[in-house]
Amino acid sequence: MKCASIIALCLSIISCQGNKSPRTLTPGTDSCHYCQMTIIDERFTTQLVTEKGKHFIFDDIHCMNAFVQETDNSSLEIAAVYLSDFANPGQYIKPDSAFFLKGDNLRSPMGGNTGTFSNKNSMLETQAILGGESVAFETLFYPSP
Amino acid sequence: MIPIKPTKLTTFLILMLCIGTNAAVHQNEQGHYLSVSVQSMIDETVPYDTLWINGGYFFENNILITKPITIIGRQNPILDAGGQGQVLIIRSDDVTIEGLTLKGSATSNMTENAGIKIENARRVKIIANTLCDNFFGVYLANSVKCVVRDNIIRGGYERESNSGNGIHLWQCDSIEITNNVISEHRDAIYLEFVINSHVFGNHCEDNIRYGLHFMFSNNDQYRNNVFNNNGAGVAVMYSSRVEMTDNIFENNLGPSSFGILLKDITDSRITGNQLLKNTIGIRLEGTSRIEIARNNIEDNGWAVLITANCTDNDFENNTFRYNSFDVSTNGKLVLNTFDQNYWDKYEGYDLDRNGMGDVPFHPVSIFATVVSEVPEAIMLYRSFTQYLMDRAEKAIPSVTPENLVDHEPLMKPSVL
Repeated sequence: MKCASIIALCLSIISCQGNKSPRTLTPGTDSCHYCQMTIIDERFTTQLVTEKGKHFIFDDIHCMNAFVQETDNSSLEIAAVYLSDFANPGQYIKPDSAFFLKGDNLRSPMGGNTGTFSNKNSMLETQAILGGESVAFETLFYPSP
Repeated sequence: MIPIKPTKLTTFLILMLCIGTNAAVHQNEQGHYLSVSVQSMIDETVPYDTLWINGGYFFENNILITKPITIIGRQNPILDAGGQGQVLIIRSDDVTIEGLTLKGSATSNMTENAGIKIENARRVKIIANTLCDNFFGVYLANSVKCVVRDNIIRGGYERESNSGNGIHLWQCDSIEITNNVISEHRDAIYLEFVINSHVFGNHCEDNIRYGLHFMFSNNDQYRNNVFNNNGAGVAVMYSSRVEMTDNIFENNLGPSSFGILLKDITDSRITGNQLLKNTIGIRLEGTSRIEIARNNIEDNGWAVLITANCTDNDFENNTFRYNSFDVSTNGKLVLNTFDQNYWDKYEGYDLDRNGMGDVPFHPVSIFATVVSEVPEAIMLYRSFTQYLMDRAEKAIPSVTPENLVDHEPLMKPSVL
């Protein structure tokens, strides 16, 4: 009994540590932290998670970048960045394994016009239809030092 | 072929005697049933013809119009794309579409399929049509001087992400959108890079996101519209010189919902509007030089939320009644004026009887500030704690900005 209560206590402490995995969004209810627009199109959403486990949700990579530009980086302590897979909206992937396609035909809500892809083939398939060019993550997201 | 073919006449009269299920069927004089399509009828016209379609069900998609013609539907002809591609594509000047029902353009992640798509055209008129179950309703790209009037546009999608906008404008100039009824779309009306356009007398309700959405659109006006029960009312973002007059914004409820959202807006006017029963009446972020006058702001959670980076906005002659909180802000710096409004929470007096209170009114309560930081604190709303906090703050202001003040609060609501 005592053991169980200790485990329960440990679990509750662990659960307070903050969850750094991406959060499930509710389109139509959640709104972008930066531009305040209600999120509908989950193909372009991004998430930024801090060391403390706070999730910032954005409707467009442009908003996430503008937010980190305007926010004091030392107070933000970014732990992870997640981007929605363009081909599977709502599936969040990390930027280091992702491919990025930028073009005017990818109409994102705030003009970032960039899709994120988990593999190169799905990016090429989309590129064949919508055009645009492959870009590096560093050109899209550059927190000020 | 079409049996009645008046080559000299400029009018085709096509009587649909029989309605097929899959393809439009037409009966000729010998009693033979012949298939006709809207596309083949359009192909037979010469520029500036008028094509009359009397009834019928056309199971057809991507109907292309590349010459100036007028199509008038009588007895409700239906054009159904059946979930494949788009219904009607207009790539010509001087096209008029009237009295048709267009439905079933495909939902897609890649292309913006519409009931009526207008590309690179001038003087196109879309009048009194019904558009239902389309991904996008009417989509105008790169077009000038077009009219979208008296249409009924209904998305019909379940409440999730895969629905487009009712009327979507991209890079347009001088467009008139009047008296349409738009529901169950993402945004009822969406304007991106649109200038000199008018949005008058539309009724937008039950849309998933916004009733009306401006992005990078200058010199536009919207007047006499009703925005009811949408995800949020109207979002005006990154635009200048927008006039918002005599509209009704009501029942826009939800955690981040509002009647009007203004983000990075300059030199605009909001006058004579009714803002009723919204979570937030007007939310201003980074706006400057906006005149907000003679509005009736009633029954909202917050009447006005204004961030500290807003400058030179002028609130005058507005009526603030029955709101849970009147004004909230996130800093101590206030560069906006709030003089001569009516506040139902004002407890002052008017000894010189000039219609204006003799003591100034501070519309920001400390409890509103607390709730905007910690939403859970709403639990203490109307509690003794709230009363205590508000009274203490009134006596010794510490958190609320001292210069957010109405020096001449009106004793009576101004007549609208």
